[in-house]
Amino acid sequence: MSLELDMLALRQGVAWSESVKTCFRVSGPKALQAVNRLCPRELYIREGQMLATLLLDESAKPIADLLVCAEGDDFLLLIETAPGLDIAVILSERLRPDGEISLSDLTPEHDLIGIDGPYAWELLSEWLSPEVIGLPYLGFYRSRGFYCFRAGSSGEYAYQWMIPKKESPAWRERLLRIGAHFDLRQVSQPALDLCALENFSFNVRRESVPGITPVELQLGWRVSLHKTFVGSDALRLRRAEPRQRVSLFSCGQALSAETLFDPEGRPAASVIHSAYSPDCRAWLGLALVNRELAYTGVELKAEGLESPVRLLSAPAVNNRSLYVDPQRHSYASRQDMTLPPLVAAEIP
Amino acid sequence: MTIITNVPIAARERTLAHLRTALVERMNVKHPVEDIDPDVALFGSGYGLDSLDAVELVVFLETRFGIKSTEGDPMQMRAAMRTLNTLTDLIFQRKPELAHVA
Repeated sequence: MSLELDMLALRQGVAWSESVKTCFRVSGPKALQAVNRLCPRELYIREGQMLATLLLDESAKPIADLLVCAEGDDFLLLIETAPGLDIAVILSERLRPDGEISLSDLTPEHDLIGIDGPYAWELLSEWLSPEVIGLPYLGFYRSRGFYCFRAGSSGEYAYQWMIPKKESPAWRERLLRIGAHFDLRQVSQPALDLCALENFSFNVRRESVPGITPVELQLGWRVSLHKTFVGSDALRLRRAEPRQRVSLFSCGQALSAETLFDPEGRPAASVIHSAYSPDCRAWLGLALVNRELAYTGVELKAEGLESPVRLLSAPAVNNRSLYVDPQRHSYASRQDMTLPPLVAAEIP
Repeated sequence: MTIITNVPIAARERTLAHLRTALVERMNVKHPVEDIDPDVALFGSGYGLDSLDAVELVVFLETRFGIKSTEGDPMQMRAAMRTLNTLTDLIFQRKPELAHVA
């Protein structure tokens, strides 16, 4: 698979992928209380809405990226889990299913596909139904046996589509046939991870790191100040004295060093992960930076590296989806659009 | 600890502080001012601002910083409205003198 072609589809066309998310249903007379107990955020959602939150461990380290979806008296949980964890066990421990709360894993019996790109809405409107165009971000609907969720980490129009496995083949065949008009491309997980990095979207598979909590990750908006949940005590302590912030950086060379230093040679940050961005023509990454230096434009040094490591304002790209208007634009006439450069930040 | 860098950190933090306060006091963002992060999406996800808040933000940029939305490239303004950091970048670009106020 070509990363450059994957990124072209993701950033300027339409891409599809086999989703790494899992889906559970919580039902029963006490489903609301159980999900409210599980969810670190105030559960203020209406039918057809999703709430973006996290699951934490006792040290407040994020262990799952969670979307809570309200469907009647039930809840669907769309989850991406940190490596090595059994999410079914974790959910069972925290929800405590009994006669009044039922937890079922929908993943084994369902296909889950991701569709991303500035024209993903147009493809889906032809493949599924025109009502996709009006679906708001973090909204979902069910129709003809499938679910369509509008959510994703690429920074583009992004959807997750779920259907019982036995019904999937015919829908997939139709997706690929219609997708031919959109140069639809199946993309790899590394490409999706790169999109998340460029957009500073949380990636639990790369950023579930000991010692890093939502405070450092700039994810305080995903957890409540007032609720009690697993990890809330540790989080409260970290909130009282925040010392570091995760920041997006660029570098002109590949980075192998873990520690970054300030201009005076003092340790200032540690690298969490990095990857080469063909669109930015630079290495991008995330670093855990001492707060007094965690500002756009600050340059840090790594041992053995000539290029400085420069902190950026996120996101690093000018997502096309910011400018594509479903009321006026289409994939077929995309060449007629005048757009700003794809790379937003001043990448050294 | 003295930090020596060519980036006007104090000016940047001051501008971010004004923007954080505006989010809480004018746009009803329900987080403590000190908890508002500079790289979180303002619209859509993140702090969940809507189109009315966008108008409020544009008015604030003009009254507080003298940045007029009708001047310059409208696409640049749209890109700038993504996070507090991108707004600060725009403010410093349009009003470079603000980056050097002690």
